[in-house]
Amino acid sequence: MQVSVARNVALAPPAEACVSQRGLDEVYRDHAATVARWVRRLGGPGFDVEDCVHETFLVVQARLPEFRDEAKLTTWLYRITHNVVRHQRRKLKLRRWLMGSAEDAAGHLVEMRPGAPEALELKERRRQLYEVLDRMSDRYRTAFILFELEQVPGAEIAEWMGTKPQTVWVWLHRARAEFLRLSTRMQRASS
Amino acid sequence: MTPPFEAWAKNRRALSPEAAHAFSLVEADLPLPPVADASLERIRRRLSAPQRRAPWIRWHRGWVAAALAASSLAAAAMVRWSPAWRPVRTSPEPIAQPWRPARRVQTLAPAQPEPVMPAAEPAGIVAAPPLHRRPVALAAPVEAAPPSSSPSASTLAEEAALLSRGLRQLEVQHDAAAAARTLGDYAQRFPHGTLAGEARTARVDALVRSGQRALALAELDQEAPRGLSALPQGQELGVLRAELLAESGDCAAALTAFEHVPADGPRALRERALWGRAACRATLGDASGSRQDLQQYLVSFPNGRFAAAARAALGH
Repeated sequence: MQVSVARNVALAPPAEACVSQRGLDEVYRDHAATVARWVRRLGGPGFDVEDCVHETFLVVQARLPEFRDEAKLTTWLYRITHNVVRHQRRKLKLRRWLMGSAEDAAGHLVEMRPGAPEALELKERRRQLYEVLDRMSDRYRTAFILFELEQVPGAEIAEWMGTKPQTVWVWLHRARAEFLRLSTRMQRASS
Repeated sequence: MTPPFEAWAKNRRALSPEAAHAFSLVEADLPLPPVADASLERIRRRLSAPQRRAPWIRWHRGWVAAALAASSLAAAAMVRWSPAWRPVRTSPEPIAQPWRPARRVQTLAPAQPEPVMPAAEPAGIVAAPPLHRRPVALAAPVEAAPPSSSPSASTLAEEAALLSRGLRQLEVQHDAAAAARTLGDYAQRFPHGTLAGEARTARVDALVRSGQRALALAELDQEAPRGLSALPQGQELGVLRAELLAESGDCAAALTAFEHVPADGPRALRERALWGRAACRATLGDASGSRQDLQQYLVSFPNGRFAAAARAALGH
């Protein structure tokens, strides 16, 4: 079962080192895949992952000299990624509003392994998933994605989001209830 | 804490239909394939290539003028020639920089033994800093001319070019005086132009930035009878006008203008208006009203930019 494969090592970032002595190349080599995963999860379908990862590392490149080892590199990277994704989502939202259709750019997900009908169904369910998530507040959405989909431990989410672990549990509890309510409402509306 | 969806996956048959549906949505995103190495390599090459542009934080502001010119022209064209097009109005933006007292105008006379406002603190009202201009995707035509007098494409292009030059002088070259002149030219040539509202807002901004506050106030006063809210960033212009009125010593008019800020307006504007009203009331000798405003300020904005001054004024 795909779900229980979670908490895999691939998600875990490499061990922290003295970052101030690192160059962009090293940070990119160690963390680009992780950042790309975060971008894909937080951005959802129709998101230009490559462009967003590029933007994120441009910011990293500009700010790396200011980075001090007081903070964890992954926390710092996550926050930059989150800000870039949020900025890009706002732009995407505006573009969709101006151009009309929201379905224009979600094509790259069809390259999943199952056959075409299954792939289409999967794509549709993924679209619905993000439609529900996009109706949630940013903090609930983020906590939900990180914990339920990305399967990051709660303590780490708290650190990334700059809050206490207890707060994260509260957000998660509410986010799940909200998710269930919204997905049910959407299902009823479509049927 | 176990993710409930992980628990659901183990016990799918026992799920309610709603939970099963929710789970099926979550499940759709769980097998996320890794990002292709080729894709990461492409990004790496883009990063190591010489950057033609600075990071987004910098170029975002730098290209505002060019984007505005292009999008203004497009928006104007759409408004003119597409009946289905719904104009987009830019919402008011809060002032980006803190509202700094530049000079004291009048000290607030304490009516009670304890001072209403501290002698050294911002009792006077001053003009606000430059209006914050964001990259406007589509400049809203504020005063669209009647259909019978539809401007030609060349007129629109001239309008857009003149406005663009003014904004470039203001935002890129930081020459507010030149921007004010250019935007003044615009106002003379196109008093009812498609982009007149945007130009007027920008001109007020330029006048304030170049220190010509009296002219900025005159410009706003001229527009006030028609309602500043019709202009882009209208609510902010309303607060700015009140502050300029107070600075010029007309606290009675300023008080009225401050009271026009809607209760559901942007937080930063409400904060400025409340603080300004407190100062004006004190200046006009209404010490109890001023104290009431300051107390309300501390309740609404306990960590606001004037909170320390308000506490000091109240003797806390």
